[in-house]
Amino acid sequence: MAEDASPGPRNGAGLSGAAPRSILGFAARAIAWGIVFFAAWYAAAQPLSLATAWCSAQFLKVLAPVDRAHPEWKAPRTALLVEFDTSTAYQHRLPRGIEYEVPADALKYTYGIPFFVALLAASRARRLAMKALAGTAVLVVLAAAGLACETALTLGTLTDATGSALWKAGGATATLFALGYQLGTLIFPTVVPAAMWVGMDGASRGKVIFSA
Amino acid sequence: MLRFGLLFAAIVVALFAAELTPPGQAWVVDPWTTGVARVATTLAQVFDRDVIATGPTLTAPGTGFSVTILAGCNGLEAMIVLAAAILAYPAPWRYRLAGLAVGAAAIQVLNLVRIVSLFYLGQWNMRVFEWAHLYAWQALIMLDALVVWLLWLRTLPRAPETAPA
Repeated sequence: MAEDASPGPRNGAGLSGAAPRSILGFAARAIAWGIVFFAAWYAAAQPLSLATAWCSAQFLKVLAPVDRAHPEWKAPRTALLVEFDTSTAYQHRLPRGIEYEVPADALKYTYGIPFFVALLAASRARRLAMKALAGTAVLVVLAAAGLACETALTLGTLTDATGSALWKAGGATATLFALGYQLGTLIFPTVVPAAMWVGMDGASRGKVIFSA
Repeated sequence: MLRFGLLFAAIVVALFAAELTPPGQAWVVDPWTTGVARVATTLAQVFDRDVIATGPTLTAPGTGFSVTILAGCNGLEAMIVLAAAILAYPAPWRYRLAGLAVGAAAIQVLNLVRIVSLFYLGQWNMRVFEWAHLYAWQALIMLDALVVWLLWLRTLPRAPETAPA
């Protein structure tokens, strides 16, 4: 008996019904492609991390009293070199002309990229390259936002010679930074790729899924 | 699809916010994590009776390597995402409840495999452990949730088609 290959709601079958081969095949292909794309992602760690950290530096200038920030590759990770903005309300506490090196591990924010591309490849998406590029751009921006939140939290731990904090975000802002860090490491790299895959692959899979 | 997307995002945010509150931590996250740790230690001791379990920490006496099962290791986040996807999709409640139960079980079983595998990977190679812990298993758990959701969709009765006038 031929199996209905298209995923999506269908008549009559209960949860005890046999698992559709097409979905399990998709999962197997996603794992196989995942090995390929995770390897490629790790091989491209330096340029990808530098690009993500550069975007993160732009976010950081908005989120914290930071005048200058730029990424540097400190194998096997990136670091952000940060100089405080001494023209802000914190000027009496912030040192002038000192560059702080803050570790910025962009990889733990960007592993959603190979996951997303593996999902696209596993579902044999049309216009895969274009979708992969668009999705990667979204994921890099989200990763940069998460990384900026972590860096802002790290800047809040810097102290002067007397042990006083150079700068510390207020209660609500600090909570938002913590939330951004959590989202950046846990949610953005896992949920966003799956959600984008469902949304982007609409020409084939999505129409069936969302016909209800 | 827009309705699904908005509802999914709203449920995810609400459940994550609830998880982060002190009552959410005290009544759900902490007891759940303790339960997962207990099952994981029992499972590890099935494979190796020498494994020492001290609360949520597993220790291999031969190598001295230890792993501690913390809040982020309990599979709750993946369960929240799957629950949001199931609840946001238009379906009869009995299908939703069945999907939530089967989905939670599927995620927790894979999460136990993850914990035990990390325990042994860490004893073999720390670099591989970190890679698996930080990147690979995160994606695999989410793929598990996605596959469970796709399978659940297939179990739903098809919406009645509109009769021609």
